[in-house]
Amino acid sequence: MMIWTEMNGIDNTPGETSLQGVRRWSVGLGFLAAATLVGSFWMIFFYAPTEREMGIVQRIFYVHVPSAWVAFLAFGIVALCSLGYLWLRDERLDAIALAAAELGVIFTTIVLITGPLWGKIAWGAWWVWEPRLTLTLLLWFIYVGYFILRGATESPERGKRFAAILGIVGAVDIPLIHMSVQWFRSQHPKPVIMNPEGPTAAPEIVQTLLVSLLAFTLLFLSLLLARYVVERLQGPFTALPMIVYGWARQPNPEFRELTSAAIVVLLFVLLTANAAAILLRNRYERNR
Amino acid sequence: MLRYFAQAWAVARKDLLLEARSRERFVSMATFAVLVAVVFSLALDPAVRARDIAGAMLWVTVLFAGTLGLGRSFALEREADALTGVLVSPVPRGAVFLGKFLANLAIVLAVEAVVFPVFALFFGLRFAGALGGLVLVVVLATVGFMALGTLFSAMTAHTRHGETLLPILLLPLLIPVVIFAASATQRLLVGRPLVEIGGNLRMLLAIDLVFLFLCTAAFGSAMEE
Repeated sequence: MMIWTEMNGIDNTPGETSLQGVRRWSVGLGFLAAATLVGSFWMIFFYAPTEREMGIVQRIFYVHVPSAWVAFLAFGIVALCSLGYLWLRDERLDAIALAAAELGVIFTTIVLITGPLWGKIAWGAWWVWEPRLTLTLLLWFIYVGYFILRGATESPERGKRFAAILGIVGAVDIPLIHMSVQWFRSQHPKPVIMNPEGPTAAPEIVQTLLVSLLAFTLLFLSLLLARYVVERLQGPFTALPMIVYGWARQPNPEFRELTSAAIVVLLFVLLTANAAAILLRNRYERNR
Repeated sequence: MLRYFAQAWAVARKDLLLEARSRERFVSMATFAVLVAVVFSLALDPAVRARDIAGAMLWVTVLFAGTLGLGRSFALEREADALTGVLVSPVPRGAVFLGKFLANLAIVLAVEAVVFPVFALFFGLRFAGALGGLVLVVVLATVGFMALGTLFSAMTAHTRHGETLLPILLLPLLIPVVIFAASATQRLLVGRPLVEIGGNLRMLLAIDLVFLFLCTAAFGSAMEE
């Protein structure tokens, strides 16, 4: 029974209206992001000139750089919200941190996929231990650890606390890692590497990049709010099936019994309600 | 302030006493580290000069052996539910952290005192000329390692499969320590003067201070019951 109160105690249920407002913002920003993305795609393929030295492959840069920017923005949000969560213990801050961490990992993955695609042609190698690449890879590992740690604790509240601590320690560690990997490179002769930014940037290139940055940021904010709403809906009494699903993943045997009981009860209620509906309809139609 | 350190020392003394009686962690860590050295010497191609990569080998070994021992740091207290006793005692959480940290530091430093001579023996390394510098590097790097390690072992002790989780969380965060420590060690091994690793030492010191402050502050939030 302690677990039950623990699960209830963690929530200060948000007003339905405020969540709906957030959802509307998310949808609105989503449309805006879609429009900007279409515009930026047009600019990437038709407006921006093909870069002279790197050729057509340089165009991946308009996806790569905005993704990296969004990922860093996300990890910044994770750190700030984690700090806020440890201080204020506001569930909303934890929900934002979780949403931002998930998006950060997704966008870091995009960076790690687009980078080698470009590097294979521009550098002649899929992977180089260049400071920025190394940092991105380590960031990916740190924030994947964030989810593993969060999911591995027995009580959800503790998972949130631990994840928040990792979010803060990770953010403080990022500059240290950055300094150390740069130090590490400086001792090894570099292979012949072109400047990743490209030697010169035409104004069209800069404009296209700026539009892409805007599009990705809008997309990120829209997804962040959408994910936040989903996370907030998982509070007690708001989405019973989601809660039952959450129980099923708890290792505690008490939860297993709870899950089985809840599924049986839900099934019973569902069947009864349906049977009642069928009976009522049949009777109503016959009487008509 | 003095009282704070006295309390930290009491926690550390408890852990060290436990370790001195059982020698459980020291023996498993040192044995593991020596075995890694044996595996390294058998796996390395004879054409590779071990001296050229000794810095990396040493720190990888220390990192793995240290992580192995850290897993037990809180697990033992968790099993007997002794942690609750420590936490309900009128000792601030920061002092508990400092005590656990000091005990871990002492044990891992003892392991390193075995590992480095064994590597020197197996791979024909010569430390004699740079012993002072080497001790400085080892101590500074181990302080940073143990600060993060103590915090994370405290957290992973409260998770399922914590022993496997600890290295996954710890390794990416410890990259700065490894890079500065391994490169400094490598330079000392090839007979470079101490001044050349001044930058590494300063960075290691800065990392230690950051990690110690951060982890002492975070420990209170990690250990709420």
